[in-house]
Amino acid sequence: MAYSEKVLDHYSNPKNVGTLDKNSNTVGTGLVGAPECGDVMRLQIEVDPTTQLITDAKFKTFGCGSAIASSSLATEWLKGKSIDEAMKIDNMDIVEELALPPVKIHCSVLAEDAIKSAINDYRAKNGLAPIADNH
Amino acid sequence: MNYFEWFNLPVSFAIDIAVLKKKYFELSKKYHPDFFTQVDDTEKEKVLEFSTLNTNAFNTLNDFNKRLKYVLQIKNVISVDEKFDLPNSFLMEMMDLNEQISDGIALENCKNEIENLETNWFKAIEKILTASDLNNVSAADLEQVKLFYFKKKYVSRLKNQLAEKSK
Repeated sequence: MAYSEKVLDHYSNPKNVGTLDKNSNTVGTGLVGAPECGDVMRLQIEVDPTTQLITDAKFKTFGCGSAIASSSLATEWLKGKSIDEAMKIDNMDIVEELALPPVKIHCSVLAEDAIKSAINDYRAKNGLAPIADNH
Repeated sequence: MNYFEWFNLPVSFAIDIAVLKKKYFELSKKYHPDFFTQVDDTEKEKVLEFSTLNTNAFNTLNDFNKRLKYVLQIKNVISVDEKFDLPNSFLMEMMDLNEQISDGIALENCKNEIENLETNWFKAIEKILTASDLNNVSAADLEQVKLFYFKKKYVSRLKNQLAEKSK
């Protein structure tokens, strides 16, 4: 299977690899796993409490090229978005942008799950009810 | 017909590999296409089907992880593309181990930790995994095996990474 140029680019130059302080109230952490391949993905967002905009996003993924590319792209997209906009990021947008083949779609699902889980972690920390996952 | 029925073995996570091999070779001989050159096409097709089934059944049951998955599937405990969420604490542990390995920190310790984890998981459900049939195994027991099966996937990834690092 050949990876697309965009996957390869994110894979060799992943954007926003790193960690934010998971104990901070302005940081939401999403930790998800893909049981079939044993991949783990951690995605974090930093939210400005007054504007409710995502000011920073970091990730660390242990998985295949597509999983790394999906999370790298997700962090790029998250920066500057509001929580509501971020909630609307759909895995199929990632599939399209990276031209992922059908067997790698689950990697994009993982990234979407990580975004939602990070948002809900942020909400839980700030006394807000979780947003239901309509997946 | 499931793979256990094909070999006339009881459904179990633990099978006698020597018996499995013996039955596989017997059936391979019985359905070898070379013995059916004179029969009509329908029968040739049937024979080919049996010999393929025989090989698939053997390859699945001969491998511990594949066998685990197969038993869980025929018991309807997991579906083909199961999406299964493991507890957050477990994912955190796996994240930490992945990070340690990728940073090359205390690899020997990582290796031991991973082996201990696996041994402990196995021991916790040893009775179910070594039972010669599943007659006394409950639905809750099978759920435990399912958890074990998926946890092992993460460990197998860690082991591959460790092997890469130690090259």
